[in-house]
Amino acid sequence: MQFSRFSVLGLLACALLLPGYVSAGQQAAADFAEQEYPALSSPALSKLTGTLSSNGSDTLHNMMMLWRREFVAKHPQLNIQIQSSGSATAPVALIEGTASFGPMSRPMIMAEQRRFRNRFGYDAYAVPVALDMLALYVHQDNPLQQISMAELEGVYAQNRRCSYHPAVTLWGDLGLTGAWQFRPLAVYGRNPASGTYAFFRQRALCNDDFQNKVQQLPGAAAVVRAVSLSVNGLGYSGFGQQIAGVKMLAVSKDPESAAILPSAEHALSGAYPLARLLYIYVNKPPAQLLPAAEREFMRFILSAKGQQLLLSDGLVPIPEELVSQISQELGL
Amino acid sequence: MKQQEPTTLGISRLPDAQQRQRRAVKRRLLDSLWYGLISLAGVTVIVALLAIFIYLMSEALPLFKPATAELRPLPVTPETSLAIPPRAVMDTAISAEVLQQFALPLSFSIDFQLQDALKRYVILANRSGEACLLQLSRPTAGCIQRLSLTDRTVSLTAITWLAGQQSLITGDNSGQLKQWFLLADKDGQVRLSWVKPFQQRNAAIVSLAAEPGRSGFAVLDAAGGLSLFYSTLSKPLWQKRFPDMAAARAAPDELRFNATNDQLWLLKQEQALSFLAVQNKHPEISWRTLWQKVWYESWQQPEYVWQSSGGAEFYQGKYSLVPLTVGTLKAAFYAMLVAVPLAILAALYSVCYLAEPLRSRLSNLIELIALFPTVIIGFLAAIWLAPALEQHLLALLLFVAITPLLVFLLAKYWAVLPAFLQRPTGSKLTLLLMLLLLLLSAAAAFGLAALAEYYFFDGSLQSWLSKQGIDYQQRNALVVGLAMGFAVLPVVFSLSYDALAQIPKQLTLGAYALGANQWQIVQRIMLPVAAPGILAAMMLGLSRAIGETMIILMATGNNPITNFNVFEGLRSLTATLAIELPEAAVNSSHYRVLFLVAILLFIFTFTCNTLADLVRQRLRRNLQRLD
Repeated sequence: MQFSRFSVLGLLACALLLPGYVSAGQQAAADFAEQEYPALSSPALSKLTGTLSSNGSDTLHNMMMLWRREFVAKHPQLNIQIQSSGSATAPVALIEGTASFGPMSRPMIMAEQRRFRNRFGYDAYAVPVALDMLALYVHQDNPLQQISMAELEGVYAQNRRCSYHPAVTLWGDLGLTGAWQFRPLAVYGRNPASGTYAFFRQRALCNDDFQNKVQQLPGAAAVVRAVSLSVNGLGYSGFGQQIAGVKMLAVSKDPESAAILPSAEHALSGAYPLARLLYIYVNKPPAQLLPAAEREFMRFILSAKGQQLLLSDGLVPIPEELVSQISQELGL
Repeated sequence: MKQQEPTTLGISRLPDAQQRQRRAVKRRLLDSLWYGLISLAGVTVIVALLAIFIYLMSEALPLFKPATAELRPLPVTPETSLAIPPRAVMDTAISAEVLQQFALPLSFSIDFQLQDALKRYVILANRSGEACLLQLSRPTAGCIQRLSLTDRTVSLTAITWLAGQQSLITGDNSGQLKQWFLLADKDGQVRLSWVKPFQQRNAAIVSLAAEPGRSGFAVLDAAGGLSLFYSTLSKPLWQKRFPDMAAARAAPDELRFNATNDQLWLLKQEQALSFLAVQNKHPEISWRTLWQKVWYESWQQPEYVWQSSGGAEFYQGKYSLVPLTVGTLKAAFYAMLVAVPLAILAALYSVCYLAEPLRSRLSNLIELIALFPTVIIGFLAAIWLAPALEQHLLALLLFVAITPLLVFLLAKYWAVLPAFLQRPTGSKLTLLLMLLLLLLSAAAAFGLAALAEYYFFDGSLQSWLSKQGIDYQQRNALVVGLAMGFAVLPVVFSLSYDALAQIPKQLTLGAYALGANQWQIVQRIMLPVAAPGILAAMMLGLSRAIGETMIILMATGNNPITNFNVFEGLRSLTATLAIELPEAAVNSSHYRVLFLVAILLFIFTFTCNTLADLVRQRLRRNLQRLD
């Protein structure tokens, strides 16, 4: 009797705790006008069926879920599976044919494109879907307000080849005083499969190696949560990942320029140094259209409604011209 | 069972011979069927194990296949797949106008010039081996460093960047090859620094060619010797002499790789002479790079590094298995440190001191811990334990120190206690007493910790530690030790419990009869007899700790550090597999190294389990002898 009571308790604990960890628990308030994603003229397309799958970026995970929810509401017979363990998993899945969408938070590198080309004879097609900003997070009690790119390199890089900034190990090295002066930094980052890791490495570290002490966490939300739990923490993650308990830092490009907080306007103007495009890679032979269901999903994502959804996840819609150019190429 | 009804003839019918035979045949058939099924299952298990091992080996072994290359003649009709690869883009020099702004020494003639990847430094060199480093942002400074790239008596004949433009290879006419990095010295001044030599060639170096996309290079010498190198190894991966190539007419003067590194072209004045078909899939992996310190590009010194992918072009994958192995052993060690004393003492207590209804209930309760999914333990460790421990580290350390002290005190003054408390050990009352003691010790630890931090550690133990040069990370080996210790505890406990409970009763009863007290029996009889079983329990616990994934993945920062500092994080073999297998491109070096990691893990757990089994067999023999 005792035994069964305990196992029931254990199962209950499982059921309560697990979903909270796995999904970031971010609910988007998504109630957008119907007309922004115009209904289709062709009746054949209005009943799409089958299963599509997506494998790739964790940064785009929440967005893919949101897009799917809205899209599947229109096409109830369509099923979309989403797996998000990092951008580097997208090319692998596309090449193996296990996914039809490969969300990536960085462009494919040459070696990945080459592997794709060897398999299919043409390049994987990149559809830019959103503009993202990486934000630097510290604990809410931290008095620091801003950080420069050179200081970031001092915190994260092993060899600091970009600016040769001296190594930063204490908060005092970033100008804090008092109790903070001798407090060591606890540095968090993403795992190497992540496109965020690669982007940060390229932009802030000039492609240098990360220090061994940088703690690698598998997930954009996990980084922010770790910072919220650690008083001396510093971590980079997407702008949309902000939760209670953490504070965003303003970032300056170089010591002369002013530090700015990430915002849509600064991302579009290029003033914020850690802005980037997010992509969905698809397997599209040149001069051919995507299969109907995939094309329809891309059309939804690039539609005004699909782009508006980005705002609820802290991402920025891509410029109009880019949308119309891509739509033309995809034949939407 | 009802007797068979007699027939009308009044005789009960016995099964006739034919029927009996049929039954016997049937039984025999069933018998052999079961025998076959059981042995099939057994054989399947063994075969499956072997197959897994063979599969892992077959995926990992190609890493160590030596590089090969063979000379191929040029096709008569030009094929598109066999075009001369274009000259690498990184060879582009800076313009003469830019160069004119610099105050260069007058006598300096420029034979080679190379620009670094970030376009901030230019290296000028001439054939006599003199070199000059320019900083593009400071033209007036002239050479910020002048040095000799050769030994002054010999002349420089070839120089090239490796892919990524972070390290320089020079070759001279005595056949020496050297590697150089741009490194910042203590004052932040960038210097071209000599890193290491490669194995000397037999004749003057004619040409060097860097492999695009990875840090290998090919060398051609004047005696017709061709060799392939990789930047982390000083010995060539492959070498061969082609004496007729040294003949003046056919002597090539340039080498070039194609984009996929499988063709090495020999050129003379931009005309192709022939090419080598190269098979060199995994030059970055060798026993040396896996297990020894390696001096990677731009690093200040050789290190053990695991940074498998960078998601960028020209990434030099760093695959040292040392940090991962150390991480696994470190986590297992601290987990055992927590689990073993607790589990063995708990087993001793339940078997030797606890009375029956309580005893089985308590042991069931401990075994229930094993039902906890490790993902939940890991989750709690990361979300609750790690931050809590960061705040109350000193309290925990004091608690561990104070508790035994209080127990000793209690034992000393046991006789003073009221009589109703001094009843036989193992009653509910003593259990309560012990719980009270634990609470008391925890309260004392918290109180003392607050005082000690205030008076001795400037308010925060972490800051004090960091001033002593000890890094404290929130997600550290201590957290893993506690969390994984909790997961391993029931394994060690239940096996030790069994080992202790199996000891024949007559032994202990005999000892009692001879006047031994409880502690003497535990010390002289129980422990020595059960020792092999307890050892086996520890080995099995260790193997569980080594194979554990979720707790380590979630409760640590997965940072590949090579040390045994309890306050720093770690990265284990298992967590690496879990994190990196989905991203590794099939058949890439990274993918195959992960298989190697799996084999390593397999060997670890296999060894532990085998040892545990051997020890247990010994225990069984010992016990049989006692009976």
